[in-house]
Amino acid sequence: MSAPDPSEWTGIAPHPGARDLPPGRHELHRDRLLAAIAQETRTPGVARTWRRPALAAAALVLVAGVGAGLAATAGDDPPAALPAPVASRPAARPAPPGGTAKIQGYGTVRHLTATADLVVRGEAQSAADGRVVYRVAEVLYRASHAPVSAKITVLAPEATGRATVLYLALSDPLTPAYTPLGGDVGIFDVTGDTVTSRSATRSVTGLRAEHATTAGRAFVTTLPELRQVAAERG
Amino acid sequence: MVMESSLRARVRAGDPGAFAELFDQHARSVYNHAFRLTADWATAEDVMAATYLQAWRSRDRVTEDGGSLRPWLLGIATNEARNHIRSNRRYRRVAAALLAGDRTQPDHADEVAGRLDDTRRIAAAIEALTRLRRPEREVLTLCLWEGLDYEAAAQALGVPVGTVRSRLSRARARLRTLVDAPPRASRQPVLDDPVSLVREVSQ
Repeated sequence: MSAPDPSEWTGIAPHPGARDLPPGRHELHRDRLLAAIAQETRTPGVARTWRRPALAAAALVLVAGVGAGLAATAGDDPPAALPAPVASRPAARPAPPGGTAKIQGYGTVRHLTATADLVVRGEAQSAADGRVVYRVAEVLYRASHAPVSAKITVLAPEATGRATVLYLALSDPLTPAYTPLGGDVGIFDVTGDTVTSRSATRSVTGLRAEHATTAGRAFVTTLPELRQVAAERG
Repeated sequence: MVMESSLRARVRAGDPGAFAELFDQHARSVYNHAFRLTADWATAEDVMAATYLQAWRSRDRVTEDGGSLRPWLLGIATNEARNHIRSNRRYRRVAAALLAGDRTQPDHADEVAGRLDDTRRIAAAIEALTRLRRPEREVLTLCLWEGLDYEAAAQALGVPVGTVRSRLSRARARLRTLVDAPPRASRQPVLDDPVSLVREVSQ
């Protein structure tokens, strides 16, 4: 027999039946899917590669190796559902000296959170030579190896006096200094409880799952949602 | 089969119309499968949407020969659901919230009687699923409720056929143990009592 015998399951696993999607949602999701397909078809080089962390990290290794003679480590494996990578992103940025390569593609806040060494809310106090003294108002997540104090050094050209949430990689454990994940992908501007991704073109598209319809637009969420996702990492 | 082959070829070629067709044919099935694996209708909707986007991105894995693409979609949906519900503890927590919410539904109007039957059936199924480990839950939903044969389920999950059989066997044994256990005197047929609820719905 190549399928279970329903009689063996009588009384122990009643069929739950099936529901339709809520009214209008079938059409909505189909339209979103087709819009995403159209977008990815128009920009295959960007859309099909930037969400592939392993490939972006591999490109980083190549750039870092050739340009600076530095060894870099590859990033996390992609989620199980992701297809095998087929191309690399050419514009990966070399890692800061002494830092660990963490420039990747990020599709969701969860992915950012899972990769970050430190997630903080605060604002830049002063900036010089690409180094920012960042005043930390709240730590949403901290890895055990990541030092944090009221002020941290962030290697990014950041304007002062602007409230942000930063997803950071520890790029220099000695200083210590941090770098936003994926460049501006890891930077979110905060207005009240509303949080908006800094970049529209290189932004996550969802909290826990990617949403095709928000691709190419700034991602907007709330501070409590970011806290919740951070808490889920524990 | 010719139609399936044609659809497969179009999916593989990245024809948007083929994906629209695939969506119309199987979105409901993917949605319900996702619900059973996440115990949350809103999450199931997210999983369904992510499944089709992932299917588009994985289209080069579709071979031109073969039958329905539904097992392939259900396999992707299973992976996507895992990304949402990473632990059994979380599944049980979400399921408990679902069942608690269902308890608050109105029960006075005749017009909601059908909906309540539906709700109780779903509650019984979810209660049963909370008693299983995730791998068992996945094969049960695929084989028993989505009607995949062992080979299709194995392909969807990326495991050997023997693994599907053994997981299903363990799931059955586990549920059978629950149902065969002698009822306690104080047991009432309420939503938070999976054994009595399964018995009640099955009768």
